[in-house]
Amino acid sequence: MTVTHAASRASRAGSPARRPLNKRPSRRGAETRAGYAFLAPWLLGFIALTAGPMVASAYLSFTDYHPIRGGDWIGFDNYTRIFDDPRFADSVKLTLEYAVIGTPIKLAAALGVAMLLNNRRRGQGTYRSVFYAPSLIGASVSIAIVWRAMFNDDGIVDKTGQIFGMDEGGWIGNPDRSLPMMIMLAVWQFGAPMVIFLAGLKQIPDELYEAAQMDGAGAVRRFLRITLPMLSPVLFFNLVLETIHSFQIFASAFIISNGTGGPANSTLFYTVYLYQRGFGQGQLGFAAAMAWLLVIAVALITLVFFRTSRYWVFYGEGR
Amino acid sequence: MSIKKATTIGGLALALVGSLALSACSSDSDGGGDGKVTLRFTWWGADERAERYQQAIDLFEQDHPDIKVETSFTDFADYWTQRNTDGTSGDLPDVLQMDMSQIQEFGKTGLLYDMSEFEGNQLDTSQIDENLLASGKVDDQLVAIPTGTNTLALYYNPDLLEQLGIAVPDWDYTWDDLNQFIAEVSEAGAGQDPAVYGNGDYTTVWWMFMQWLVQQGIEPFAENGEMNFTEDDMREFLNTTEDLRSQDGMLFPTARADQLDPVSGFGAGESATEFNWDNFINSYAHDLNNENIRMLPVPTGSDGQKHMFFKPTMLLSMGANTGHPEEAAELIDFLINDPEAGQIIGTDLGVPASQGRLDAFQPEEGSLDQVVIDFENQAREQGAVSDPLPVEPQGFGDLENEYVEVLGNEFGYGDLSVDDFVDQWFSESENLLVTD
Repeated sequence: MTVTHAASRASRAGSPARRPLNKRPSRRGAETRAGYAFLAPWLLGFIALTAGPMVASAYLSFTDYHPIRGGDWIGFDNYTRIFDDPRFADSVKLTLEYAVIGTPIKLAAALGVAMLLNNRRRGQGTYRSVFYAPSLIGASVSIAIVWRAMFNDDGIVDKTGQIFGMDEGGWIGNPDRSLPMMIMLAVWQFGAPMVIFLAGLKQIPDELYEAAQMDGAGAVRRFLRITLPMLSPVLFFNLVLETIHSFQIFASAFIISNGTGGPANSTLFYTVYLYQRGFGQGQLGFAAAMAWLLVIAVALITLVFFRTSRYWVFYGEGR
Repeated sequence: MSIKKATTIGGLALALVGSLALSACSSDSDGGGDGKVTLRFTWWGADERAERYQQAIDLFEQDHPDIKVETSFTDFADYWTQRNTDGTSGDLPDVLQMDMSQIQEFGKTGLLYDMSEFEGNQLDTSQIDENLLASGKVDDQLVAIPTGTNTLALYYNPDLLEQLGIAVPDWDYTWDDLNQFIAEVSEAGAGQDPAVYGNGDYTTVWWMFMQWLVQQGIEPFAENGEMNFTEDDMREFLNTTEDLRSQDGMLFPTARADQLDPVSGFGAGESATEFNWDNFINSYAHDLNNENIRMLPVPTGSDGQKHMFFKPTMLLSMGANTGHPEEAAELIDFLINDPEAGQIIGTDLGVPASQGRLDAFQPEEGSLDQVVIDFENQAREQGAVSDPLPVEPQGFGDLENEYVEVLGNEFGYGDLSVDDFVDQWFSESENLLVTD
């Protein structure tokens, strides 16, 4: 109690003249300590749940650790093995295809719908919620199960196709159809980037459009010359986020293929393969090495985005 | 520098994370404050098996009001993923179904409880044949009790064959006869909707490869884990169905199998035959919704013999970490010996290992259980079952998984040549197989 009183009296006393200068650092020290005390719950969580496991994973990637047998230090063997592994190459290729094709389509869909919703009209709030809904539930396991049922032989997609004379059986079990199906599932969840685009669109001053219209600029020109440049920071943000997101695709592919990455490895995305190696086959060292390669690859790609952003991202006046 | 499970670095992270969670874990396994002991019991299998186990466990709980059994089950592949994770964190269930392919893995690393101390007390093993019981021993420790035995069989669907007008192969059919039969059925069934096939590509069934090796006089693995077969052996076996593969529509398509999963082609009534263990009959009947299913042994080898073997199935083990070993032993004893439980479980876990149970077991005339028992008796009497079970060294389960799930699927889609299959399997086997 006395301590509290003393402390509160000291802080109320306030006047700098009464506080000798050399006491200042100690007060700062106390503040710092208090800061860390407040930070502690997060910091402990970060160390125990993120930093600790990451250090452990980095170490494991240099061992042949097996969950049951244990393991030994094997240096860079995992990393050299990875590059000789044909399935690793397949999974990288597939994941890149997915990211390179899927991300732009998803962003285009999000932007398109956002622009439609940007017009004032009745029931706009409802539309926004409806279009956002798939993003809320899309990552869940149940949607992947529904998706599997829809695209199976004699599922709703197949049946609908049959009405139009396209009887090609189920998409499940057809390796050529897997990637398009996975991309569709991702594109369908365009809600999150859409909301961000919508917020960005609201920020664009109407005067710009009015002035351009008066000067005779058509809709396409207004889009290219006003909307896109003004939206570029938001576009950049969405691009980085969605690209990282697509490299992490796991749950839907895992469910749709029953964890096998099949048919014929056509849903064997990077993380699915990593899971198979680590938890299916117990090669945790190998899987840890794969995880670190993914971290490095995503970091590099993000870096490239940031480095090139100065050429196309417009942050208002002056750059 | 060596790391042992959950001791150093891997364990460090786990310890950090787990220290909070552990207190929660240890308290809930005592089943709350009502003085009841809670046992966790898990197995692999389909819904059909779950119904049987659940009925048996209800009986057990009636007899043991102070024990509560929490059950869970999943399919075979996921089952081992989960047990690997359990093993790492020292959190195996009190009672778990064990497979011969994993017994070395879990037994040698001290994850399973040595049940010898309960023999003759809580656990009556006297009804089990000595050699059969020995299959549950690792390093002289009794870490698993076999519940039954099974053997490989060619399941066939008599209704489907009759409909197509094709005769069932003779008991002494050869590999060539089999291929010819498959081609005939597939040709006759092509017009059906959906198309009916003779069989899938059985060369991607790992145990058919083991069976074939035994017929060639090759013991697949030595006790120390060394491989006794060569790349040429595997290539030759994969090539037995090359003629069927090279023609369209002869073998049950892998694409269709992926669509039907978890039901198999045979279970869906789209394949007239399928190789599998003989205790799968209940599951097949459930999927087909038809009990008219019969079995033949595997094809006869070039020496006129079938060289089949009995395999201990669905062994039951206890996690070494169990807090209630005595109660767990009682549960295992009940599942293995109790005649009432035996009547419920039937032959779903194989033909019962316990002689007492088998003697007391009264399958209904014409029932599926009767079909299985008759099949095994006939196979034994005809001398088809003549060989010991192939050794399953540490890593055997992973080798099988690589053969069936990983390469077999790609191969089934025609994305992999026989040579690539063999190359990749052998190069991967170096990472999977543990040799002493």
